[in-house]
Amino acid sequence: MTHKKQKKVSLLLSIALMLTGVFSSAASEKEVPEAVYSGIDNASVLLKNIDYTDVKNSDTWAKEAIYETGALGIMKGYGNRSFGLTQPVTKEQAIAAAYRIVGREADAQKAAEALDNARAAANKKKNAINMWSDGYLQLAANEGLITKQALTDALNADQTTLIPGTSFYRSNRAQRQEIGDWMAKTLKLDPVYGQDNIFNSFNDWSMADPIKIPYLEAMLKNNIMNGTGNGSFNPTGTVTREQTAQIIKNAENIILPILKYDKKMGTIEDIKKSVDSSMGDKITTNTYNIRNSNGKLHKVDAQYLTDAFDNSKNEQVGTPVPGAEKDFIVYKDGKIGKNDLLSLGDRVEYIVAPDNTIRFMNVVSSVNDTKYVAAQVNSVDPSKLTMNVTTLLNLDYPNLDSTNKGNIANSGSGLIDSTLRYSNNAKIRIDGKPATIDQIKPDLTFILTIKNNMVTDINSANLTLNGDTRIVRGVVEENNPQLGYITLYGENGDGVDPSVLNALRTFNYINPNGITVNKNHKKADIEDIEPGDSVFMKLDAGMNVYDISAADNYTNKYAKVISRKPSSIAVEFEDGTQQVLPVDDKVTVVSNNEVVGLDKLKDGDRIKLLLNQTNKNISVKGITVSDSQKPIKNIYKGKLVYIDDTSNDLVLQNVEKLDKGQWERADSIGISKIRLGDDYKLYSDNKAVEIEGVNKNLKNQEAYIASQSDYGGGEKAAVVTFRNKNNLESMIDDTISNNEASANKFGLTKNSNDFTYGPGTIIVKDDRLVLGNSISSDDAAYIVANRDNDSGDYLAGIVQLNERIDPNAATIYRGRIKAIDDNKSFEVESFSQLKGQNWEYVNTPKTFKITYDTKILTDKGLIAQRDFTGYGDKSFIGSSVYIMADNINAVLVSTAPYGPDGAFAKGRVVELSGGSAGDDGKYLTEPTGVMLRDAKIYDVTNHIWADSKDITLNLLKNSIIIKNKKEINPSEINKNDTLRIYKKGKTETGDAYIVIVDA
Amino acid sequence: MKRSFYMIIFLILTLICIEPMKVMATEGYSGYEGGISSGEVAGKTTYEYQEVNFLSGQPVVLKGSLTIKKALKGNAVSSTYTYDLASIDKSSNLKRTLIYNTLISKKDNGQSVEETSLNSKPVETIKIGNNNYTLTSYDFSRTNLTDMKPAVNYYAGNISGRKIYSIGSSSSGSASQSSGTITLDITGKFYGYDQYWGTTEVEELNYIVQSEKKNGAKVEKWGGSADVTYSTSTTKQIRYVENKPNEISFGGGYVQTQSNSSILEYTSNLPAFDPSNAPSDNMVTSKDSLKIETFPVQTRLKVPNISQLKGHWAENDVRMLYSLEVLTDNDSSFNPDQYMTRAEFAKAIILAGKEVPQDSALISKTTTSASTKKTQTVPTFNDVTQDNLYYNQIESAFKRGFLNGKGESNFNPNDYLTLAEAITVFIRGLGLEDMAPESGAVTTFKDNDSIPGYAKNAVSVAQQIGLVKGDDKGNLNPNAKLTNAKAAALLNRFIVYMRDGIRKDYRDKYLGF
Repeated sequence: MTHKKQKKVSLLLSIALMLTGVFSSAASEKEVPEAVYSGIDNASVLLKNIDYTDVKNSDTWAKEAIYETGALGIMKGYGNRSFGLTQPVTKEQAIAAAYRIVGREADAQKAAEALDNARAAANKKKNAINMWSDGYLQLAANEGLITKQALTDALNADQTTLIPGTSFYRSNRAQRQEIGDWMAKTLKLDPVYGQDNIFNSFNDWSMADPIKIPYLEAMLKNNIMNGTGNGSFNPTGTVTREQTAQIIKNAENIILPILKYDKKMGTIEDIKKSVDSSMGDKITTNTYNIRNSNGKLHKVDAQYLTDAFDNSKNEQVGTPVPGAEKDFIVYKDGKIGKNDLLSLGDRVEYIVAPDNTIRFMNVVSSVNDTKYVAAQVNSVDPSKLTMNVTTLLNLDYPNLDSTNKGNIANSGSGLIDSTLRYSNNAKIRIDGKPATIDQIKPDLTFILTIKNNMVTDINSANLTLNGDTRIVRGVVEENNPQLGYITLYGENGDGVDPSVLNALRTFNYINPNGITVNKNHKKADIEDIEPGDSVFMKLDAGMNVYDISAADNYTNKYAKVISRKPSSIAVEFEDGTQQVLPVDDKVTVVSNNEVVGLDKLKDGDRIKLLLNQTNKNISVKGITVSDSQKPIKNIYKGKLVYIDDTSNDLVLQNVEKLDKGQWERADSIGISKIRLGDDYKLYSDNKAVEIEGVNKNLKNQEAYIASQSDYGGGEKAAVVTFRNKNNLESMIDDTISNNEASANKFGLTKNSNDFTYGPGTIIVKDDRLVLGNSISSDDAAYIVANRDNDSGDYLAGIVQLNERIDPNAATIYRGRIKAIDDNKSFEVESFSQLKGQNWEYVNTPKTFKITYDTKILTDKGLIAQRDFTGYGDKSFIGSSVYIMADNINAVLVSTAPYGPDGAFAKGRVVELSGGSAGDDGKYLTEPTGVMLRDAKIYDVTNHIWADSKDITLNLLKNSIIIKNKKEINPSEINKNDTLRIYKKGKTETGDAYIVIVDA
Repeated sequence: MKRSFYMIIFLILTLICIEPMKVMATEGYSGYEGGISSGEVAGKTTYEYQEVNFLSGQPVVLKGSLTIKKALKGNAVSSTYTYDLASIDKSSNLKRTLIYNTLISKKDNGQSVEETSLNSKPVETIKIGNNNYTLTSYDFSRTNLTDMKPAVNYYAGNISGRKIYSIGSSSSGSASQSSGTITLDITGKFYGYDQYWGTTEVEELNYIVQSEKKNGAKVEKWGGSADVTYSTSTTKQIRYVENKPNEISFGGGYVQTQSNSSILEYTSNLPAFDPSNAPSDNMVTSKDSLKIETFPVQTRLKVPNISQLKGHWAENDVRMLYSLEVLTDNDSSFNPDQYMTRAEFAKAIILAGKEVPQDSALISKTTTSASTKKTQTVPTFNDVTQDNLYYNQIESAFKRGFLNGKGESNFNPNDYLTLAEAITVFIRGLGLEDMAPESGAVTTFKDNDSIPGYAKNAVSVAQQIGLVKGDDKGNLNPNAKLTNAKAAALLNRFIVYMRDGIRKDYRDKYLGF
């Protein structure tokens, strides 16, 4: 980043240095010129020939091209000092021109002579031009430009015998596509196959001869030919002579090297005049010191006769002494002349022949008042005659060479925007053709000529590098394939005038279905390009998009779910701000590495949102649910001793734990500590308070504390709410009947009071901290409320909304195994199903499937499924088993013994015994006994539960323990759980076979 | 070359002036065996350490110590890791010694690439219950790319390995006889950052355990998988302590608390075993976590006198910056409404984004000798010469890459900055430019269009990471000149982000998602 910028600074710097250097250090006398050039012998004659009367006073846009091609002898006039600007070019002329531009006159002449030699004397051509023309046609036929038949037609002495519509008429007007085809071939341009984007961007491409298309593409790609300006190429149209001149000029980068001409640029930094009269005539020599664009000195000598003795002779009609004139053609300000048109400071382009003679010199501007910039036009305001442009590069000459293009292509950010005034009669050219200001489309690159701070010339520039089309980049503001456009938001946008959205650039799709689209380096549809994406787009010559490569700019944001509605979710971001985000079925929700539905999102979930966010809209692209939710592990009540502000520990006394809606004394006696979590919140009287304030004012107060699981098995306080100890605390176990979230209160089914809640109320649902709006009717709730002595209102301190344990236990059967299909299924002869406290017998066989999840418990514990077989010593056939089933799948098979009918007991867990626990409180070996209080024994005759003394039961290795339809380990039974147990006998002790955790 | 030279000079400067106490959980202090340590403590080479072992088919938490010895030789680091661990009930234990050789190669863009391999025969013996596991072969490869940004070094790397153990039984009491092998395939990746205000590393390892064991005439084969993710970080927390007595020369002050904290989460999916210890088709998924925290070290910070700001909205920011010695000029003359100059900002930013501390075990002694060399330095900027009050700071801010010059070789030290310029400096300092598209990044500020083109990217990133927020109307006012008060708020938020904000992405957020 830094390096790039530095590079650019230095580049601009060096350009600046170059510019200033030109003038500050005029060539010292001692500087050895890199090259010395002179004029040509017949400059005056040449000038006379090409100073066409019909061109001179016209305002043709091809003036420079006509003079240049004329001066170089590529295109000649009609000989009567007229050029024939709008004359259409004939086929034979076009073929001749196609060969002349590559310097093949000699070949044509040889061919012509051979043809003529073969002719009978009577048929020999008298007219040299006709004869040469034959030669060009012969060459064209030899080299495949025209067919042999066409040649025959062309050489047919009697052209009237030809068949119109079929034959080749040499004197007919040449079509644009023919000229393009022929020139492309003589210029040896590589035909462009397959990639017909450019040509297809013209609406009339189908009219073109398919064989010629690759060559026309090549001409287009090299910017030698263009469309006719209205979106068409007009392949069968004619070409005027002025157009031909321009086409040739457009190809000069290819033609000049072939003709061994060299085009150079420089600035005239010194002119020296010397006069020699030694020959009688006065010969003036002007020596021009030109600082070439490469920084080297070029000297050009021009000598001409200034006849001191005969002033009536003017230069043009004068006949100078042969050898005395060494002048050259100069084109300046729309006029043609000789060296004396030049003045100091002129910036010139000069074409040099191998013999070091100047063949043509074009004055592009004068340094003194003119500067050139390559700029991207952002917007034009015709009412104010201003245009907003992004300057890409300051130029020395109105010309972009490949170095310039490279510099522009690689320049990143940091370009300067400016608003320029343009002249009302500024010359505008797009692709070499005259255009009007309204044809200037944003994002085209132009070379602007700025004279006296006013834009006088606007010439479209082609940033095409090595044949690639124009590439633009930006961030998508809007993509509308239906209406066929895409709008990019550029990095500029100075916001000076909000009504001019000059930061936006719109591009069209000609055919949205025919565009190559990649997103994130994968093939995509055009609809996949969204606002906010970074895109690179390839544009064809008509500035239409034909290829898009995009990457999304999605951002991750972390949030907590507040509530979920069918088409939106309300979330709270980390910084505490809340937002409602639209969601639909397309949003993927991932939880525990699985794709789940939106309905799996729970209030209070921590989620990661993948967002596509722009300043206009926000859309959710994906949701990941945290797989470590840090659930609320416990809710405590305790008297605050103080908060240790170094370690952030709450120091508490008289700690009690909320267990099934009741406060139970905590295990640890005396003072205990609990660390405040990362985002802890402290409340007193529903207002947030700070540690400092708590230590000052709230010591010895009772607080409710919701603690979250922490790493390493610990817990951390998430919310601490202080209660007013003067209020009466009541414990309620009920079901929500209604919740008025707007009024912050809810009602209960059994209890008739309304309960209010506030920010300090600890509301827990599905073990997550939630807000009041998550309380919904029919939720079963444990509520700890405080009654205000003055108002009598009940303020909820804790609302614990818990999914109650499903009392419908899993389906349990028992039966005797009849057959086992190893690892697949087993069958029982007949079976009983446990319903309530009864085993209902069904006298039919039943088959259970064995899945990978099926557990087989024997008196030794879990055994491998593969050992559950029906053969050998350890065959299970004939064994009676309990089967816990999920539909036809066996979840658990236990060999626990049969018990008597109705041998049920129930009670509340006092303690588990027999297991061993590690330092961290985790069981290392499973408990083997359980003690129940408030116990009851089922009286099978009267079908009632009879009170009993405390019951102590053994948990066997093949006892089935079920909680929430799931099989659990003995260690997962909690103190105070209510158990229903099927056991060995009807007494208070013995082995438990089936243990169902009810609540 | 030049840059690194200045870095060395600067390092020496910082080494001299920074307080000697350094606690850093730099990369590698938890080893590469899927465990967590209490992190680097200066002057200590043995750390508290915990890891989870899955060889027996059940996750077994092993706790104990890890001793690390590092030596720098040229561009190679040789480090010896010695583990001595046991389970809580002492029924299992592990002893392991690994010597790594790390080659560091500097890339021409300033990044460096490390490649680590095992140096000599690795030694590891584990006893779990009645089984002994002896490491017979260990293929290991680890590579790491470090990208140095002005205020933060980021790194990311990959790890892979294959360990093969022979299983022996110790029940007979005699020499254990090989009865099978266990292969442990390890792949993993890790990410982290190092900077003055804190360091964090997060590593994610995936294990495949495959056991082949003779049980009588039968060969028992089983396989299981385990994922271990851990994050280990060093943080500096700062809190304000009000003085209780009234009759004291200052009202209260800041206390900085520094501590290391490592958390680990694992999930394993292993077969259940029957009473004869034969594997069954029932798979058991276990999930648990571990945590090690060091005892916090407290440091009292300097108390500035900024009574002129009492009640000002930037009072706390300014007090914090003076306490942290990011602002050092005369505190009692701090004018919140004065515009901040580029020179003043340069001075503050190099202190807010202090140079990344080096691993103290790896600071070569040769650098100290370089400090005795006196070198003639040429000022980078024409308008900031050696006699400029801010010469050293501006040179440092430029060379570290926070601030660029203006125009040709000028710095314009007395120019004021705009908010947009300052944000660009912060984001460049953090090296987070890549979080937003280079051109055309869009923010959600109402005045998005008035953000200068060069700053769009930085502002967008700053908004994403919470470094800047709009005003009440949702405007950023990016072209407003920065007052001292605003600059203080920004600088403080920058420090808070480096201290707390960035850590979350490598810790809770990483482990949870």
